[in-house]
Amino acid sequence: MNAKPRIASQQTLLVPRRITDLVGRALFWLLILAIAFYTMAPFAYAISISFRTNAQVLVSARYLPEDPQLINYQNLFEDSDFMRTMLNSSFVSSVTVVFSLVVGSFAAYALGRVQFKGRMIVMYTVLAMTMFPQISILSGLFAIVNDLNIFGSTAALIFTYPIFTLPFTVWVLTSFFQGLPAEIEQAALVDGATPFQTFWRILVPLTAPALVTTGLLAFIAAWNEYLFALTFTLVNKSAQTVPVAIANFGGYGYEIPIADRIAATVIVTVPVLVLVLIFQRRIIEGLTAGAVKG
Amino acid sequence: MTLIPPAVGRRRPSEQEVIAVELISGLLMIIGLFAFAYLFYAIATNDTIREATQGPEVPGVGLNVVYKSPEGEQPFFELRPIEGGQAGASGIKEGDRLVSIDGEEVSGMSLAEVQARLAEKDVSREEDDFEITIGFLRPKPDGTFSQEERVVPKNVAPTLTIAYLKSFGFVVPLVVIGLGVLLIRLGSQLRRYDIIAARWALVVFLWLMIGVMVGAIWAFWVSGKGGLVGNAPFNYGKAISHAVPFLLAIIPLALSYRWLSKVIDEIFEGDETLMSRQTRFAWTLLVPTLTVLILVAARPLEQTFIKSLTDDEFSANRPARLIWFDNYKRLLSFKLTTVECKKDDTGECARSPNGSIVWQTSAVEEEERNKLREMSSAERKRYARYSEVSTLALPFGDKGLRILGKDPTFLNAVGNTLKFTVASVILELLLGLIIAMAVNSRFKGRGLMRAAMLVPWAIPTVVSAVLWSVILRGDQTGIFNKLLMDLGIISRPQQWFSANGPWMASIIAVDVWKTAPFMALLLLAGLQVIPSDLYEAAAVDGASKVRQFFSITLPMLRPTIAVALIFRTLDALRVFDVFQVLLDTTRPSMATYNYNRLVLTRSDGYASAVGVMIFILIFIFTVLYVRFVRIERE
Repeated sequence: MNAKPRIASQQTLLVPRRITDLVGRALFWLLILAIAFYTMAPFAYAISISFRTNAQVLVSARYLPEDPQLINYQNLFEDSDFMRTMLNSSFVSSVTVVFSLVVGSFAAYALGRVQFKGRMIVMYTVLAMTMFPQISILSGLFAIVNDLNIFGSTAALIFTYPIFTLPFTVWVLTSFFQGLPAEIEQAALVDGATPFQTFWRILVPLTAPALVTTGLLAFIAAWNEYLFALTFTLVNKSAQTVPVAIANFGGYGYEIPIADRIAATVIVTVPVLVLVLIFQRRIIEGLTAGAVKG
Repeated sequence: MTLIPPAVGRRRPSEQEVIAVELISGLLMIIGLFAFAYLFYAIATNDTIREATQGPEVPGVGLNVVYKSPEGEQPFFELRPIEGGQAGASGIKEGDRLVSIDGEEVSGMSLAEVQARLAEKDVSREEDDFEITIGFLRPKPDGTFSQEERVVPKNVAPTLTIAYLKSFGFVVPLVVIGLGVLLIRLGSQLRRYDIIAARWALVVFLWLMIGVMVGAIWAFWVSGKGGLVGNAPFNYGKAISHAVPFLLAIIPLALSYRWLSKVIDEIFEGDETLMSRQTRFAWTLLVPTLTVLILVAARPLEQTFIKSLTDDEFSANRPARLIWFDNYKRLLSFKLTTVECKKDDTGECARSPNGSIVWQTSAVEEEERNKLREMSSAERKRYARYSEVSTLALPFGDKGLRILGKDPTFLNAVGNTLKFTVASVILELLLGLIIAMAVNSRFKGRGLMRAAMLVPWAIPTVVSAVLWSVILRGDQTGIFNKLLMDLGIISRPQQWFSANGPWMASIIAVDVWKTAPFMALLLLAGLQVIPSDLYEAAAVDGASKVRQFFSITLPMLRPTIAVALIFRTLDALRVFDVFQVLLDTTRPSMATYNYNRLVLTRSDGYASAVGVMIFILIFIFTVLYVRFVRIERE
């Protein structure tokens, strides 16, 4: 599959070599096509189904819609409850991201650029925390959220989401900070800057791309979160986020709401997909830098 | 009063400055003492703890009785529910006439005796001792009576241990005490004009100011809205009155901070190593992260662990009891036994319509059944018996190996999760490796391909589960069935998620679709750092592609594969979304079982025990993961 070793192919006869080459190429492209189909077909089918009416979907399966209609999307955009869940999701995710970035960049700077006692312990604790099983603390958090009197509100989500966004923000940003050359602070120190000035005025602007990447990953993680949202907002419909709304979708008719529900999944996924496609290089970089959960 | 300024520092501090330093160090000590005082105050005024030490406000079921003997009628006890008691809530009204307590007629009892029975607060902590069954006559408008019975829970105080552990625990009090001690020490060091102490004091003031600000905003918001749920109008008066104390507290902090930072280099003295300086700076920056992690991770984890040692239930009208490891015992108890199969007419093992062997009941199950028969109904309610988890056919003879457990659903959940984890992680690795190798070679549209790989990753897991539930619909309206039928692979629609269908394979397929591309991205990063001259050299030596893969690619990729594998295993072990959306509650994963126990059956203590076990399992793998990453980085 690697292009280069072909040079050293031991075959001397021209014709067979060409044929094996051609077959190889054909197989290779077949593989690529299969991968593309595998990764994209389900979502493409979702788009296709979202243009059919619910009645049509319940009668037969079709690869392409028979007469494309926008009725599902119309229903959803006119549905104030669904729009509200979109708003909730955006609000919760944005606040979580801003909070995690600000707090996380402080910690990451300390861990990535400053030599101090206890650094290794803190660093690997943070790494271990990125793996924290949310389900384990569900009942404990339940009690705390109740005590704080925020059960059933978006505040409960903003309060609990840092448990999965913060550790990985810190970890990824730490790797980025460590990658910067050491001379930066020395130069700043010589110029008489305080450590905080060095951090805020010089290092943060330098890591802006890393902040964008990490922020995006945190945003996607918060946008996709299901367990906490389900547990803490199930009782209060007006605080629900999109994943919960889709999982418990009621629909608009008397039938099982398949088409509407799938249209909703398309609406939810498109913003994330657009973000991902625009920033794909950055995201891959960030994912591999921290080997973090998506 | 004369104060003699100490003869240290770059210049002698003036008399006012000495007073100021005294005041600031006093302030630090007071804050430290305040932390202690507040902790004790909070413990002393906590409702649950007060109930535990003084007993419940309304003892017993909360019923008053009045003896009445009207002319021409039988004398009777009239019931009067006490406000705040459980009786009123259970539907007993004033005017009802008491007939029996726990099935015992009251006609022969004295008033004092009846009152004592109803106010009973000492309980033996047995299951049904927490409630009193009250039989009574309710007068109807037409002058007749209806005979009724209500089970009323007693007001029972929790034990002090439980009350304290549930409300406070150890983590937060220890942090508060530690900080208090540190602040008091810092205050005393400041009086020695030590520059290191002064710098630490600045840090302390800075974070205290920020903390108090956050407190002010919180108090304003929460007390203004009167709880965050509900549509009560915002009460500005209440909001402001709750926020003002916080704002007032900022004043001395801000003044101290400003003054101290102005004179710090003039009147304080001492040498500080670079290391000590950096350590302070680093910890300053770590304060918010550590605070958040303590609040949303350490404290809830502690809470979960404490609860797992109790029989707490959300819906129960009784306090939690400390039962130590009983929850764990019940979760983990299992027995192995052999069973014979049921024979059909031909002497072969009988098979059910879906092809599985029909087994007989095992000796253990018979024994359990007999045990249950001899028990009283109350005992039976509490007893968890061994029942079947699953039966494996043994290769020889007509025997099967039966696994029995006290909580078969949990053991099944563990089995499901392990099967799911092993299969999905291996498949993801293989598929991810193929995808990564393909995308790693140079071809037109490679960038596009990589973007396509991010599609499944970007779709929320729940959403992908919902999407797959539509694709894999079990009749002709499912597109996957249609595709397979069009290709001639199957002749009639397949039920993908039904209990006797290939549901585990379906679930694994859904998860693999979502995560294999992600795995491929991780592996791709590893592939790209393998130097290409290695391959060139191998090719010159005449090594085949297959050989190259096994002697260059795989060994070079080993660390990446290791990290990716552990990483995915950790994720798969806590799988929740796909099981929750696609399957009913009889086929749980460990995480969904935990959730079901917590939210559906509301048995908090038991669910917590499941949570702790998941944590321990994940923790083992996390240690492995951290160790690998550490070796990688050093």
